[in-house]
This record gives sequence, structure tokens and C-alpha cells, in this order.
Amino acid sequence: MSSLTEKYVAQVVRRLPENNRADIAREITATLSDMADARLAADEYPSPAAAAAAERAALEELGDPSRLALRYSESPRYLIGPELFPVFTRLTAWLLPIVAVSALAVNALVYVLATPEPAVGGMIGRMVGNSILAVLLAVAVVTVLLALAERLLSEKDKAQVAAPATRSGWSVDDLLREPPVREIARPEPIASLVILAVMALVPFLPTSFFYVGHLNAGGGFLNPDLWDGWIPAYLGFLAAFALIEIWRLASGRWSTAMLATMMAADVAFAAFLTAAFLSQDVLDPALFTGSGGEPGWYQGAAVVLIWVVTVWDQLATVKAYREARSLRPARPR
Amino acid sequence: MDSDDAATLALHEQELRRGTIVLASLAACRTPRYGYALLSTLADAGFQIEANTLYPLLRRLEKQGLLKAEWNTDEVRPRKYYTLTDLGSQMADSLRSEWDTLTRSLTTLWKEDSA
Repeated sequence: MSSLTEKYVAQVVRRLPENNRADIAREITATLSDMADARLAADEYPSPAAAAAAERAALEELGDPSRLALRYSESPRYLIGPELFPVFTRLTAWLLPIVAVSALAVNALVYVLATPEPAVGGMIGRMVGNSILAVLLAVAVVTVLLALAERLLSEKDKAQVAAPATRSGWSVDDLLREPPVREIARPEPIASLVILAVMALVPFLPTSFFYVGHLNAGGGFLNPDLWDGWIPAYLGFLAAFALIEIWRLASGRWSTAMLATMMAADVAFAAFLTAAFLSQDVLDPALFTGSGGEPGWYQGAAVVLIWVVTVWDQLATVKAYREARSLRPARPR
Repeated sequence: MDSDDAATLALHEQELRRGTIVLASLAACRTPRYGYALLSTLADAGFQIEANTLYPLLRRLEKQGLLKAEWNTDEVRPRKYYTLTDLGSQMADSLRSEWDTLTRSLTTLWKEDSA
């Protein structure tokens, strides 16, 4: 046995459990000799060069020692197998949004409370940076736990862990327990509520939050004179929209009344904003005198923007309504 | 057939053969054989199986009690001989009849559809 074969065998068995090593080493050694001999069969007295070549060929046929060891060891060659994979996808799909949202919220709160002069850039940087770390950490934890479960649990236990996710014990009765598919998916009204909350914050945000605090000594963006009627009305509109979204969230189903209410509210809000922009100085005039700009230039642009957004929103709403209706099962006539 | 199709065919062929290797190994071990002799026997019979697949498989079959292994140190080169156990023999019979059933089913299916 040459040192090459010895080295190869050592490379294989060092990756195997101790109690198998001697036996497998002996068998592979014998096999390599047999394979080399078979190549030299025609040659009764082979030259050392021919013998060495035959040994090399035999080693190459048996291939990468780490792969051969893997075949002997029978440990799974994947991180998470088919039994637990549905658990992995369920868990990540459920966990990651929760982790992301709570990390964003907690970091925003900590930033605002702990920073003497909060500014939106710094806040976004802190929120996003820390939240990405939190999400990556959550993925890593889920992956490591399931990879361990894959290796430590018996097949039966794995099936039990996976049961709720894979529904191996599925029966038709489960269909009856399944809630009907929602026409309005929950994330939709929830996202709208978040946007409404952000819009409601606008009158209260100090200009220092956006690095322009020097223009009006850190006051609000909106003209303080508007507080005697226009801003309360704006907040009232937002509250009405919020009620509509809660209605959508609770019902989960489109109705003609819902569609009409949404479209009417949209148009009323656009008309209100148009009136505000055309009759009032909506932004704090101090913002313009401070920077030497002309107040009022933005009004026409704002009105155009408002109606573009409104028309686009109306079209999207009607499209969503028609799509949902088209998916309804046909009623027997 | 382009290279993608050829790869798909190779994959299906591999899957088709994979299940037959256990049965072929059990059949060949009705007489005691050591690893390399088994490899040659299978190759001669038309079963192309690689050494690095066969040896781990033999070990697994031994662990499942379908083969028993004994070292023969009488010869110059000590060799591990594998022999079919009673359990292995029963299982080989069951697998063989399963194989025959599959062959018949496939033949029937083939005839029905071409007719």
C-alpha cells in the first residue's frame, strides 16, 4: 500500500464515526488494491510507473474523499429537509413581518426619545439599519433551530412538528372550518390606516425634523392661522377615511355602498384640499420669507397633484372592486 | 434533443435505475462476494454502478440486516465478504415480485394505449 492510498483512506475515515473507521479503512484499502490490480490484469510484471498510474486511476475513480465519507455517514446532505421545509416557510413568513415592524417601531421610539434634536434622516437610518439586523438575526435563529431539529429529531417527531404546517392529516372537514377567502386582504386597509396616521402627523411635525428648522424657528410646516378651522377639518376627513378603512377591515367584502362611500369621500377630500390651496396660504409663510422665496408658487402644482392622485385612486378602487366581484362564485339561477 | 432535454432524460434514467441497485446487489450476494467482485459481477450483468455508491450501500444493507459481512483473512489480501441473510432473501423475493408486477403493469399500459 503506497502512501497515496494511505493518505486517501485517512482523508475518508477521519470524517466518519470512530467505531466504523478501522473496518471501512480496511475495506477501502482492499478495494483500491483490487481496482488497481484489475487495471494491471494484462500485465503480469507491471513496471513501478504502471503500478503507480493504476493506483492513481483507482483513487480517481473512487473520487473526492469528503464525498465518499458523506455517503458513508448517511447524515442528511441538506440543511432543512422536505419534512420541515414547510415549517421553515410558515415560520419565516409569519415571524419576519412581526420582527420587522416591531424593530422599526421600537427603534423609531428609542431614537425620538434618546436624540436631543431628532431629524427624519437620522431616524430612518437608525430604524432601517437596526431592523435589517433584527430580520437577519431572526432568519438565522429560525434556520439554525430547524437545522438542529432536522438532525436531532426522529422522522416521527419531525412529522409531528410539521403537522400543523403541512396538514398531513387533512380532511374535507377542514374546508368547513376554513374561513371564506377575503375579498379585501387585511394588509390593504392596514396599510391605508398607517398612511392616514402619517398624514395626521403632518400638522404636528416641527420643521426641524426635516433639517429646515432654521426657516421658521422649528415651527410646523402649515400656516398656524389654519388651526382655526382648516386643520381640524383636515383631521376630520382623515378620521372619516380611517372609519372607512376599519369598515373594510371588519367586513372583508366589497359592496356597492362601500365603493360609493369611498369614491364620494375621495372626491370630497380632493375638493376640500383644492379649496384650501386656492384660498389659503397652506404652508407657513415664514418658510418662504426666511429663504427669500415667493410664497404661493406651489398652490397650482399642489392642486394638479391632488387631482392626479385622486383620479388614479378612483381607477384603482374601481378596478379592485370589479376584480373582487369577478371572483365571486356564480349564483345558481 | 438539445442538451437540456438530454440532461432531463439522464435524470429520469438515474431515478429509474436507483431503485434497482438494491435489488441487484441483493441478488448478486446470494453467493458470498467481496466488494470489488460484486462490482464486476454487476457491471458484467449490465448494472453500471460506481464504487463510491456501492460500498456505502453495502454497509447500509448490512446495518439493516439484509446482508451479513465477514472478513476473510485466509487470502493474501483480507477481504470483506457479503452474504444474503434470511431476512435479506425474503426481502429480495418481495422486491422481485414487486418488480415483476410493475413490469406487467407497464406492459399492459403500453399495449392499451397503443391499441
